[in-house]
Amino acid sequence: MNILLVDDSRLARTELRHLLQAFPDVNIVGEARHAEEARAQIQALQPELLLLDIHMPGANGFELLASLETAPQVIFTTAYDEYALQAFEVNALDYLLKPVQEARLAAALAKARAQLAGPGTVEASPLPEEPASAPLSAQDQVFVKDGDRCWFVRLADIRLFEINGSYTRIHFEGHRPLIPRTLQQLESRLDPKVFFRANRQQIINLKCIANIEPWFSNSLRITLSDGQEVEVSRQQSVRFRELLSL
Amino acid sequence: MASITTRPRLYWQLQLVSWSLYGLFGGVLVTIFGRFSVYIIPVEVFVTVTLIGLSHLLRQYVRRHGWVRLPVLALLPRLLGAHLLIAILSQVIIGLLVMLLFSLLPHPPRGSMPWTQYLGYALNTFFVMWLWSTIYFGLHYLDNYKQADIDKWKLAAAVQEAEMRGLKAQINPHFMFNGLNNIRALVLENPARARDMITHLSDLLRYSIQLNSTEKVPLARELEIVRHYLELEALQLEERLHYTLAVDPAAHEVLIPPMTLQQLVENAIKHGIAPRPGGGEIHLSAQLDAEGQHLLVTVRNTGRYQPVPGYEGVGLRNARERLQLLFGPAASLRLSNDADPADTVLAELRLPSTSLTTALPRVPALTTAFDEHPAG
Repeated sequence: MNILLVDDSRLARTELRHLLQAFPDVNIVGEARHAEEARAQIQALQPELLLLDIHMPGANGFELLASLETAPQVIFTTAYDEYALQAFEVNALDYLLKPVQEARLAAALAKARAQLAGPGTVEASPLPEEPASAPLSAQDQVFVKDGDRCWFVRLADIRLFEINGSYTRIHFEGHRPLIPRTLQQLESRLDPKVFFRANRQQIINLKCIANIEPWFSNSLRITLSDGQEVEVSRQQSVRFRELLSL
Repeated sequence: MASITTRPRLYWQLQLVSWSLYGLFGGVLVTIFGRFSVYIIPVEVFVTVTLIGLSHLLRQYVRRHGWVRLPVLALLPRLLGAHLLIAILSQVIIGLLVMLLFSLLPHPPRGSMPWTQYLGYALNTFFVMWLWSTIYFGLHYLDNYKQADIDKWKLAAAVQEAEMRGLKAQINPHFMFNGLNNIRALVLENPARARDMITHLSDLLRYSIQLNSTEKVPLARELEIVRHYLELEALQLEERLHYTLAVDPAAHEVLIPPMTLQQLVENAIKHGIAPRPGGGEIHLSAQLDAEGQHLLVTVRNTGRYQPVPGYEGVGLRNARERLQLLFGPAASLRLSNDADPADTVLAELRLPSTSLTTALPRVPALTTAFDEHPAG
């Protein structure tokens, strides 16, 4: 398990290194002192897991994650944080309070190990492809922060991407937060086998389609699993039919 | 708060009613013991108006020069002078007004008032002014007494509140747990330094737990705490933190509310140094002013002061409240951006210089006992 340590305190990183010695499968690939350094290290080293401090000079841990195209597995480490952690949805998150207890660390690592061994690793191709141009797989997760609430969302769980100014509104479970990316940016990175541009405003997840019906002048109307209706433009309806007829 | 000092309506009611009664009473006396004449009415009106005017001028003067706060022995000679002046001045004004009135009348009354009569009136006014001052200052002393009582309760309540919030507000838990975590790593790296850090942390904790039992501590003691605090922060920030403390030894004994400087330094780190990847500097200086009457503490740090309107951090507000309760308007705490050098925040604390040694006869044993760290 390749781990990147992100903490502004050198001693705190030393402490984590010391604690992680007890886990032979752990390989610490690098250390970062703040978000900017972490961003560069994540790009260069492609760690599977971050041990991430929340309070850092410059951007904090959440802002770092929100700025990443896909979020790696994350275990948060923090000295004391009543509010930030309460805001979290439970999914895919663990956190450790500093000073870290060995048993808690072992449990958090076990959880991360299980996640990494799950469906995600099958598709995460270890091929030496150009990382920047590789499409995102449905198992990749994005970190979403909307006001006080945060989520790690697997792309496979997102039913619909909708344009909203220079932001994009994503629909998953019962939530519809905004992410700071344009629909164009997303479209170029999403897997075209799973995600389809229905019209100028919307991208849909093909695996969340509940119903398809013909609509005016050769266009289509699609109903998603949550009942949301999406009209497919005429031009895209042609492509959609081609896609399905394959 | 409704106090006499801040109720101008009551003042004017008292002024008008009592001086009118005084004028009326004078008229009645003259009628009883002398002989009634219609001219008594305008003359008594002159008396009333003149005395309202002059006593009001006295009040303006009293307010401007803060006579209400003077001790009685300093106040009495001043009032003696003021009352004499008013007694004489009032008779001159009334005399002139009466002469003016009579010169306008087609048939002025016969016979003039002898000047000795004015002397009598002056004496009378002199005594009445003493009565006026007794009431005026009496009401103010009553008010101040009540105010002092309220302040005492407020201070007690604030101390209690601080005690209740205890460690939580005083020592930032984030700071404490980071400190413990850093010490844990330091134990492996440099055990001797780790031991020192545990001592710093424990003295800091002890101080913050005990501080509320005393309202003020000598500056030197507070500085010790600031040093502990900075040592511990240096563990977290390492090369990102540079600091200097320049304190005039003459200021060591000055009493200040505990945790005040610690809070200023904590603010400087939290808002100035910690958010910057490159870190920054803190320079604390403390000295007495030229007259030795005030303690001036300045904390300069790298950063920008961007206050949110209507919102002030808990630490700063708490410090201001305590200063206000302990010293009143004599103490001040200001935060500003300093242009030189650029990107510097300047915190200035000013408070009246009081010390154990001025309040009590200098007993060396006492001061050393106070400076000693409480054992165990």
